[in-house]
Amino acid sequence: MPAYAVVEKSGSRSCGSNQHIDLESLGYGTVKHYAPTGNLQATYQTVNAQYRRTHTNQTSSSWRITSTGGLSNDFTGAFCDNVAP
Amino acid sequence: MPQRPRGLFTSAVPGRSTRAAGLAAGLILALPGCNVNADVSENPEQGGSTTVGQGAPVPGTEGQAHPTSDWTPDVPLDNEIQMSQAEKLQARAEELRTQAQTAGIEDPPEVELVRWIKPEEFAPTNVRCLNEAGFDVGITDDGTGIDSRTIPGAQTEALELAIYTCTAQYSIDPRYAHPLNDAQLGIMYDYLVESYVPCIEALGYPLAEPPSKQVYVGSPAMDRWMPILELRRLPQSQFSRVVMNCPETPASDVLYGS
Repeated sequence: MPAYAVVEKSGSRSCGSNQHIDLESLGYGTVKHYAPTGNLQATYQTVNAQYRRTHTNQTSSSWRITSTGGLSNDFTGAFCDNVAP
Repeated sequence: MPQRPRGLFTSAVPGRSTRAAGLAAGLILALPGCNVNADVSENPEQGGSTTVGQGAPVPGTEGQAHPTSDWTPDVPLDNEIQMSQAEKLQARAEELRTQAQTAGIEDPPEVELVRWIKPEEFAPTNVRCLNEAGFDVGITDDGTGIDSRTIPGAQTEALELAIYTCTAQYSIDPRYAHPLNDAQLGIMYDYLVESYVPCIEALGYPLAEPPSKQVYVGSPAMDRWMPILELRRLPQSQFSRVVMNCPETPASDVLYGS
């Protein structure tokens, strides 16, 4: 596993009005997206490094992303996505 | 950038009915590498607050599986990866052990393998398994994962155990998890340049110039050129449309051998 890779990453995010939290990961193995931290939103199994993104209905929440293989620190996290009008 | 006409993509779910993507369908039909069979509509079931239990599965909530490509390289793979059954079972055991640890499953059950699956079978196969176990999960908007957004947090522990059990029964063949060798990376690069990038650009999203094949093949896995990362801040509906129309890899048989 590259030195910059992690197997788990977590944090919290608050978004503005008309925005929801999206979770994103670049990694491999079994990758799970949680938001809030204890609520499993999506599960992926990626062979080699693949990017995955999950839209939530949360506007402010803790989040956690886990993997059995490795995650890119740069492309794993949570961001605010505009909600379609 | 070379562009050759290629065939259409097909659903990873045998026999599943598909609908033509409405938006820009006329344009997509005429271009290489674009999936006219993908259903890019949003699933209204997934955004709600439906209370779910562990009774009978709710039919019709599976969503749409990710399409697969029928692109083929000019020079097929001639040194496909081989693993013995014992090697595969050992790799499966290691993956399951790590999966149990990360999911907080302290005493994971022994689960018999039902069959090996291909990566593109992951979502439809495991969603079906979880539905049969009573969990009202679906396929994620992008067609690649298990969508459990409607499952209440109080059921997360039970859901984690069910996911462990289903993925143990239907494990991705470990030979697909082998790091790609140079020949496979060359095929992957050709696919991206010949099929994937034109598909995305046909949807209206211009991309940066690709690196050379030499640079691509020589890059570490997580630093390797990945065109989808240029679009990762698109609104969700547009992002899903790209992912559902443009498979990110060629079919497993093409990349790993059959």
